[in-house]
Amino acid sequence: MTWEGTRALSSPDVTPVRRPRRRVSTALIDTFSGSSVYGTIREAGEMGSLGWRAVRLAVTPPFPWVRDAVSEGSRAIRRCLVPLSLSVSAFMIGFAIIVFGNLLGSLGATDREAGGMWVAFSREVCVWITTMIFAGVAGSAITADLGARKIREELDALAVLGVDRFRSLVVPRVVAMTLGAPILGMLALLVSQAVNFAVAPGHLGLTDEVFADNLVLNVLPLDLYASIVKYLLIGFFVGVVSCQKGLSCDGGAEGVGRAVNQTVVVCFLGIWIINSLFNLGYLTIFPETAILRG
Amino acid sequence: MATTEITTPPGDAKPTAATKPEPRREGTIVAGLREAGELTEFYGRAMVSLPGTLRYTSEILRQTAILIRGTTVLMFFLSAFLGISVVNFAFFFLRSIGASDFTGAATGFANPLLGATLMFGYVFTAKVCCGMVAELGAMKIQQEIDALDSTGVDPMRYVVGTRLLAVLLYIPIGGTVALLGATAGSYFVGVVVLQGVGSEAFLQINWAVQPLQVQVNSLITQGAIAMVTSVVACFYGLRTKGGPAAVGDSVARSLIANLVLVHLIAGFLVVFFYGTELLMPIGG
Repeated sequence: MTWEGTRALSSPDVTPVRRPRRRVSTALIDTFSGSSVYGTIREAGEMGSLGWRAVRLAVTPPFPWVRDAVSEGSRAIRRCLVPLSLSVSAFMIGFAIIVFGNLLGSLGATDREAGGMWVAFSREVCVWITTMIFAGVAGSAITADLGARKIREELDALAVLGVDRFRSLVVPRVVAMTLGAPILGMLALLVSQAVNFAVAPGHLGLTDEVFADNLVLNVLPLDLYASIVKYLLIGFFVGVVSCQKGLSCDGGAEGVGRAVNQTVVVCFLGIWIINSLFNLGYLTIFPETAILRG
Repeated sequence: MATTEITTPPGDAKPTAATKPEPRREGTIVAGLREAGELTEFYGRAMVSLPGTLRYTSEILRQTAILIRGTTVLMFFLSAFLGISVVNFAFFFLRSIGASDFTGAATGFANPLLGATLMFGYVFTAKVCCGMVAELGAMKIQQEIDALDSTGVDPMRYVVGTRLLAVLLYIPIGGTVALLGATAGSYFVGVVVLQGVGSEAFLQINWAVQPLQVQVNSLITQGAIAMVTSVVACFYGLRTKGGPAAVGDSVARSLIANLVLVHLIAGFLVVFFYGTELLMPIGG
């Protein structure tokens, strides 16, 4: 549901039409799509079919979109890198090193900081910060771009010219988002650990060797593979949602803005659902990864 | 003359294609600085306009109602997911040092500090601020802002000021919902799903390690995040220029700034509040 002030301001002297009682109990649904139950289900179905079609086109042989996908992905990663580094560093120094480190200090376990923060960042924190910034920066840019093309009727022009818009617009973006998310996630993990290694030993009074020992003990290949799978899933989700919202937006200037808004909300919700359920399942299936070593 | 006429177009075309990234890259720094300056000026103007906004009380209350109706459910569920993440980490971390009974202490400590605060910022940025940018951008494009101005209504008061005061009214409600949601998510996973700790023990420790001061600090952080991000949103909304496509662009731009601001403010204030003293009944 967007703000309703626009409609009220744009027509101040039109008497409000008496609405049917449909809008009484749709608060929960409104947070998802902005209309009725039917609209939500229909949007979900459209997203599913778009995702399935993108996957099918991405694996069938003619690959004219590879160049586009590479340039889209690199642009997305470059645009995300500075905000992401700033956010991860702020989070690492503020929450992890100073507050969590002080907490460990009063428990008498400061040597666990390195391993604990590696596990926390590779499994939870980096995942959500990276994917939320990825969705906020790259996903919303895709929706704004496709939505603008839709509004300017460029998509219809492409269809008249005989260009398949799925193959030329959707598939490269979905592929770029799917493959871009893990790369960006690994970069974020690198930034976080670099900041940790630069700041934490001095702040907590550890030697670099103790810190590095505890860190190395806790780096598990399985953890990294699992987080790459998680990044792939979330990147695919963000790509599909942003493409679908961009292609289906209408209603002029307000429509594009509303589509971007909905993209961000749906992506954030999806990111958290995927992240939480994946971690619960992962820790249940591989309980040995849950043990903190050192 | 004719030869220069003919040679310039290809000569023009090549340098523009080759040097196009360069001026843009230089421009981003200068434009970024200019944007920051304009944003600061806008912030000052918005603050100055707040006292005059009080005459639009009904509009303020209407905007508050829209905020509460549109955000509460999403805020609760997303905070619950962050609470789940906190428990996922805290339970397994504490079990490895043999202290899984104290999962409630970890959630009680981390939820107001981190979970509720950050998630309030995320939801506020995604749902409220993006909505504001989209709405104000559309109003700007359709020249409704100019229409307000020409009818003698100050848009800084009627459009920006009312929204800021509505956000101010919304902060305690949203903050409470976020804290309750995070606690509910932690309880659900820690007690019901993982069954690592009993319900009584969890809740008792959870609320015991959470003095009022911590909750007030969390509320102050949420307030700082909400006020700063909503001013940024209004700024980008009113700065929209061009056709319908520009609205989407300004939503995306404001989101980048806001997501970074959320982390910076939360990280800075948590150090400010807890850097020297943890406000926790353990240790010495």
